Amino acid sequence: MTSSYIIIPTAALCCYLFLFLAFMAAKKTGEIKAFIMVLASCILWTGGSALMRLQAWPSLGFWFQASLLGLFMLAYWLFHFIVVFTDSDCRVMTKVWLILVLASFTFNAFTGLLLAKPVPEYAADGTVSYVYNLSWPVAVFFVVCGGIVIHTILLIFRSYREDELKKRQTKPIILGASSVLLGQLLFLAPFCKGFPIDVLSAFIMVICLGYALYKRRLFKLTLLVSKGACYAASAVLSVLFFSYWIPSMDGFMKKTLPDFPISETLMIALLFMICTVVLYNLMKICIDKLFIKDEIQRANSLKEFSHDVSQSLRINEIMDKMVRLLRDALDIQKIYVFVQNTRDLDYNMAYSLSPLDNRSFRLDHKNPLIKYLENHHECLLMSDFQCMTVYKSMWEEEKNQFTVMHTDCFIPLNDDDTLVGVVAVSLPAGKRSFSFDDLSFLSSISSICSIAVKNSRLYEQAYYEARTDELTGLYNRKYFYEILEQEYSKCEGRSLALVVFNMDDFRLYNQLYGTKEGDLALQRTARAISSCVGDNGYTTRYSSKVFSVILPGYDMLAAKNLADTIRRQIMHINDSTNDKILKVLTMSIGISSIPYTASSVSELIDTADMAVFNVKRKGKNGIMLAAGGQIMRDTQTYRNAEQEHEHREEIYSSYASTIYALTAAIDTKDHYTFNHSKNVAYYASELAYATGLDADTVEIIREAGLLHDIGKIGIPETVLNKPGKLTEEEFEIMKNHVESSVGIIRYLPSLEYVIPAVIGHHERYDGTGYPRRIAGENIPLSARILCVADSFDAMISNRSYKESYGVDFALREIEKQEGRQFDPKLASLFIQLVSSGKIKVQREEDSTAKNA
Amino acid sequence: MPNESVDMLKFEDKLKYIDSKMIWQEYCGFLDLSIDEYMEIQNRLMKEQLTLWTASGLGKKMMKGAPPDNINDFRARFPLTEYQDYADVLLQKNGAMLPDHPIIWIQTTWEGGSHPIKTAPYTKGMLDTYKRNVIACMMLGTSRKKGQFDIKAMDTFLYGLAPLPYATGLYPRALDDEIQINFLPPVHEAEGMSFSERNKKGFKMGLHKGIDYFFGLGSVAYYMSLSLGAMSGSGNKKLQASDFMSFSPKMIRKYLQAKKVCKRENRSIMPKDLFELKAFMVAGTDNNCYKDELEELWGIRPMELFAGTEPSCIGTETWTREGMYFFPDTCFYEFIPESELKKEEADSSYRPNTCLMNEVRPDEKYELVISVLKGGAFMRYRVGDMYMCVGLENSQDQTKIPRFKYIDRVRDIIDIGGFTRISKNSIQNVVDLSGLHITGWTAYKEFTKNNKPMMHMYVEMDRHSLASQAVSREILKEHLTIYFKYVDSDYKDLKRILGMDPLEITILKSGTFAAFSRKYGEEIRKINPDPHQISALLKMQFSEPIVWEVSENDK
Repeated sequence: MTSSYIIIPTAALCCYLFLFLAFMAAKKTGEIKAFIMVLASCILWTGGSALMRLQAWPSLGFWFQASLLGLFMLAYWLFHFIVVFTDSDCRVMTKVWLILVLASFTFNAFTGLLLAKPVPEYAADGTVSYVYNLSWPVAVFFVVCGGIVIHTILLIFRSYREDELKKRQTKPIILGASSVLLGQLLFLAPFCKGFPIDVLSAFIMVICLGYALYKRRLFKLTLLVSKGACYAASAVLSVLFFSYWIPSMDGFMKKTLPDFPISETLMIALLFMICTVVLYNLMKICIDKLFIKDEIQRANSLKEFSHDVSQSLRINEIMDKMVRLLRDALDIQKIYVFVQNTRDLDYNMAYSLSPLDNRSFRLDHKNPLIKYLENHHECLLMSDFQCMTVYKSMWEEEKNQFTVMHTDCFIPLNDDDTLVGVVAVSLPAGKRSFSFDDLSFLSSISSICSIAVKNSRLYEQAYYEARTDELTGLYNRKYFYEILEQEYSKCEGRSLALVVFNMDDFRLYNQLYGTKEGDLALQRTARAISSCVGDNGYTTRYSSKVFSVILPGYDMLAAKNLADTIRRQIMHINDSTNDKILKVLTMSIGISSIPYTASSVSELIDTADMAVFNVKRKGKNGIMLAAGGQIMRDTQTYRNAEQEHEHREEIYSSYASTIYALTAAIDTKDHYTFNHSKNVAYYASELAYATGLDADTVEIIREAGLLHDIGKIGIPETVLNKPGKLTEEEFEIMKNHVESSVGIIRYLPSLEYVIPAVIGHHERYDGTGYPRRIAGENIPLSARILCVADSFDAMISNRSYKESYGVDFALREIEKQEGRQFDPKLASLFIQLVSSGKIKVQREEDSTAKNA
Repeated sequence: MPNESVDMLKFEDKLKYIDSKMIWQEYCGFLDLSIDEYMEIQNRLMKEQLTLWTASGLGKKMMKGAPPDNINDFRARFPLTEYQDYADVLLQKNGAMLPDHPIIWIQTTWEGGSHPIKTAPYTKGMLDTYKRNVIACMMLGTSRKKGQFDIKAMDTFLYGLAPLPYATGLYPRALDDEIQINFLPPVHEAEGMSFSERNKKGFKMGLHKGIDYFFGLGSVAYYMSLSLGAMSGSGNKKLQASDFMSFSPKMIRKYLQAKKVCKRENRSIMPKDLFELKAFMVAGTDNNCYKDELEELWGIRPMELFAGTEPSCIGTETWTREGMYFFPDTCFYEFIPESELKKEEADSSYRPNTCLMNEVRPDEKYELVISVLKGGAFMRYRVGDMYMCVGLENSQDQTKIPRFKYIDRVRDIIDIGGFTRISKNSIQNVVDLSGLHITGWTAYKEFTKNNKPMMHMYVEMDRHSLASQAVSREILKEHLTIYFKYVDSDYKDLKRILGMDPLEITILKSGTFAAFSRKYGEEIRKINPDPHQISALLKMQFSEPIVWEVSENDK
């Protein structure tokens, strides 16, 4: 019996200590704090009682008082626990009971009048019993403790009756309280004499209270179990086990092995060790299976996930990893990820577990859910959200959508104070609610993902902006060159086609319907082109009204067929606009392809551009292949070459009047420039012809020659006709004529194809010219031709500031400047043409005579 | 807890599985809103409603032109509406024209309208909100302080309002979907009974099972309470010995105890002697006339809530009974200030301006204008009720949103006890049908010495008929009452159900109305003239000689 008084309190004490330490590490709510104090009281009571029975140092009286204090405080803290647990308002009585308990205990501690310490009585067999001398003043203790107990029972009863929920929550507590009462009653029963049933019942009560807290999700169960705890528990159990059984074992060994007295100690030590190891392993296996395994698995998953997402800057990759983790670790079957759209700040569904999920759902940035998650950076259960007043402002459609999605919890992804995304998840399979561990796990994922999403968003935004045209969403010009270079380097014998779409009369379109409608037209066109091209190539916006499509592996015919399909679609884009009748959108399309018509990237672009210009000149709305292919149209087909020639003449004659009008204007101001332009047109067109360019390109270059100095119309005559050298300031004014020329030609949509030649005719081959300081083959071919012709005529003409040089001198100068000012191939060809007489030198008097 | 979202749980299950604080938060949490938060809910839901409504056939037809860009644009462009504007669509119950599919059509009488009844559609969203609102009303009805309520399944409910298809009939049906409540008598039985049968059976069942909740029009509740007193006292309605057989022992003890107390205090038995109500709710007009007496009878002050056919259940008082709060998610509320109503009265083409919930001022009276949210049909609809803002905050309720007091119907309508709505046209119709030679009249809602509502008609007879017709005050009253009952079935119910005779007649000297017009340069209002106009009219009877206008007949 004495051993029961040692073993049971010691086991209970160990468990209390174990629970006490574990709960000290938990997040402390009001209930947890009260429970910790209940445990502390139990430790004091049970420990004090055990040490008193052992008559440990310092004295029996000391441990008796400690045990008594523990018992009284247990009653008080149990009451306090119930007050907090049932959310009762007993502030005054809480204080009153505390004062009464402390006062009565203190009085007794100093006087011993209420309950004196027990007297040990030693029996003949050596057992010790403790006798209490009770007198009537002990009733004070009974009154105080009885009052607390009755008050506690009342509170439990009231809470039990309050509503169904509290009834269920209070049940374990009622069980615990009943256990204590029963324990105290049985303690008085004769058949329990000598057995510490009161201690056992208190222990059961503590377990019940702990269970009630667990049901309220106030702590993690895994908090209570760890490797150290297993060691400690197995050691304590082994000690208790052996201290109880050693006498029996000793007797058994002496009886069976009387001849080996030394082996007795060894055997016991061996058995003790084996027992401890077995117990430890059993406990560990059991605990691992129950709690730790999942915990470790999740911790490892999180670690791995954290590492993986830190390696990635792609938001889709991060989302993919997160979704997989949620599915694997928690067995969640429905996961939807909403990511904020930087344009309108709304949250679009960017990712979901199943590709078959409807991803059209989006969350308005003013949605109350978004506002809540922005302000509270924590997971939100759907059930909690539905109880909030803000839920009232949810649209019916939004509510229905969440119902369809089976969403049970929202996980925020925050970038500092900005909510960048929301993850909506359903309950784990087979679960009715999220456990504390689940929610902690989701919170961890939220934190890890938030950082990753923040980084990837920054990266992707920069990546996107650097490559995308804002208006159309297509790749921009910068990225066009990058792709073209990449594809060129990859093509290795395969063909690489480039199709350039130039919108016809777009300036007119803007003037007719406004720039807003113009922008819409560009967007619609972009959509039409990109949807036709799909994954077969890259669609880019090359310049304001020019789109280009890079088609790896396409030959001219395939590119032409695709371009024709796109052209037809674009022509019907405006058919579907109901509100107003819009002009039909047409395209001038040029196609070039490596290796058929170009051998380098720049040549590919130049030839495609040139083909576009040719379509423009031939009446627009058509497709032309580089290197003089046949133009393709719907409405106009030419029966023979003669008809086409007539058509071309017709177009040129309509441009000619504009060109003559402009040149006449400059003639009235500066007769020299007028003649000069005509001469340059002649030299340039001859040189172009000799270079092997087709007739249309030659015509473009001739017109460019006529118009290349048209900007001089805006230069003061004092500067234009100044004898002698120009000052630096005057030279700057003079240099502006290039931009002025372009400025004038820009307003003539039918002549805009001459702009590349005009703007580049003062560029130098070595890159020191003006206005753009471009070099080599970056200068358009037409401009390089014009540059040679312009310089030659300038040298052999009389100017206000200089006399004319001789032709030989001029040709020598050109030769000297080969590779510096002039394209070396063109310069030597020009010298050869002049020297051979194929180009006739135009003198001022010749021109004057011609005009006359 | 069942594996369902909170939204899908019945209220009864919520009581079992969800913390009471959370339940309070869900249903009554709107009382904690700041006015900005309140307006955010209003604006967001109105945006949803505008999207639905402008896309519907009804919206397109009424909006005439491009859909509004936002709420302000809508308020600026779309005029205030009345039932007539919706009649062609709603009376035909043309669901395809509406913003959302109607689950149920609720009807009421359309006094002075082109059709005997008005119908109003209720969508699923509206019904869900309605259910939450009626439960919130019940919770607040039982609460004695913030956060505390006392509702349990199988509680008993004495319900003194009309059954479906009237809006009041929706209340027990909605409640029935959420929690098992014992209606006295059960709803399916009550729907087939007359008003008095229902009351009688209800009270008898109440005496057997007890009554936890009582809800009725203020006037009806008062009448029912008096009937209960009569049943439990002496007289022909007195309970028979056989009735006591079905009583619970608790009720028999209460009854005997009450008898003893009443004998000692020398008074008849009151409901409070027998029943301990958890909640007592009233709706309708003129509740102020009955509240004190009802409190005396039941021992608990009735809590007023506002519900109507078109707007559904939109407002409730709280445990302090110090003014009503409007639910933020039922309708979008606009208020026409009294000054704007006066401008409209002076010039019928004037379009009165409205203010929103965050623009109302304390102690000002407003006419309520609603746009029903969640797919409702009515937009900027004049309900015809006047409210006074009694405060923008309340420290007792701990609220920071405006609260209101119901004043009455709009001035053009005389409503007696929430039963009937009498307009200028309906009175003129009665006068014409009666064949009495009444040449001028005005009607004014007054209250008796006992603070009970009545309609006082001031009439003037054709002086030529005076010699040939008996036109005493009693004859006129009798005559007009018959025709009021003839044209207005609700008026008939006033007498039949409440035993009320609300008409009072004062005969004015012939020529008084003409003299009034000459003197003041304006005609007196036909309905509810200003009190000073009534005084002037009466004063003219004694102080000034009436100058007769000589007509051709006189000559």
